[in-house]
Amino acid sequence: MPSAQLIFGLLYALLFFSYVVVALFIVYHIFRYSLKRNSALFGAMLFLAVFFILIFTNALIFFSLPLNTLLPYSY
Amino acid sequence: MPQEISNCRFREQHENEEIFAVIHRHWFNILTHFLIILLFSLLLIASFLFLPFFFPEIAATENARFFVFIESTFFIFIWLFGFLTWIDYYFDVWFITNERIVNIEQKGLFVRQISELDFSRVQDVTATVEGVIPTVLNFGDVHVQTAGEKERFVFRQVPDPSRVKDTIMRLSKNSASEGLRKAVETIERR
Repeated sequence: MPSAQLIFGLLYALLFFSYVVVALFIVYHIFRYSLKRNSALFGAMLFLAVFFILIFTNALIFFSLPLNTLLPYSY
Repeated sequence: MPQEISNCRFREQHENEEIFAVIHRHWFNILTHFLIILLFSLLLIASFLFLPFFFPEIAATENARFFVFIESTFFIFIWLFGFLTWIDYYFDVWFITNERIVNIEQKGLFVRQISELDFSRVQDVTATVEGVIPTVLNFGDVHVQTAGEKERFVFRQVPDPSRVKDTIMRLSKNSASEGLRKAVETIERR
C-alpha cells in the first residue's frame, strides 16, 4: 500500500502542474493578443510576480505538512 | 468611448489600415465578476485572521498548517481565476478602422472568434441602452444591420453606444461616397 505521503505528494504534483499550465497559458495570451507591448509586459510581470510568490509559499507550506498524520490510517 | 489608440495594433490588422476606435465592453461588466472574486478573497482573509480566535483548537493543533495550505491553494485559484476573467474581458474587443469593423471575441482561453464587416455592407445602425444602471453609466448594445446573409453585427455592452453608432454611420457614409466617387471617375474615364 502506498504511504499517505506518496498519495498526497502525487495529488499535490497534479495540482501544482495544473496551476503552472494555466499560468503559462495566461502569459501566452497576454503576450500574443495584447494590443500594446507595454501593457503586455506590465500585465505579465504583475501576474508572474504574484503567481510565483503564491506558488512558492504554497509549496513551502505543503512540504512542511505532517502528511503521515493527516490520514487516520497510515501504512 | 475609445481607449487610447496610439501604438495599438491587432494581429489581423492590414498594412495601411488605420484604427479609429478600440472598444471594450463597459467596465461595469467586469466589475460584477470581480466583485465575486473580491468577496471570496475577503472571506479567505477574514477566515485566516479570525478563525483562530473563534476556534483556538484549530490553531493549537498540527492541522493548523493544513488549514493554511488550503487557504494558500484557494488564493492561487482566485489569482488565476481573476486573470482568466480579465482575459475574457480585455481580449473581447471591437476595432473600428478606416476599412472595416473587426470583432474579436475571446471565450475563455481556447475559443477566439474573429469576424469583420466592411462599411460598404452597413445598412442601418441602432444603439440600445436598457435598464437603470446602463442608463446611469451610459452603456448598451449597438446593432449593425448588414446587407449580407449574417443580418446583424452586435457590439455588446459597450460604453457610449450612441457615439459608436455615430462613428459607424459617419464612416459608412464616407465609404459610400468614396465608392460613388470612384464609380463616377471610372465612368468619366471611358
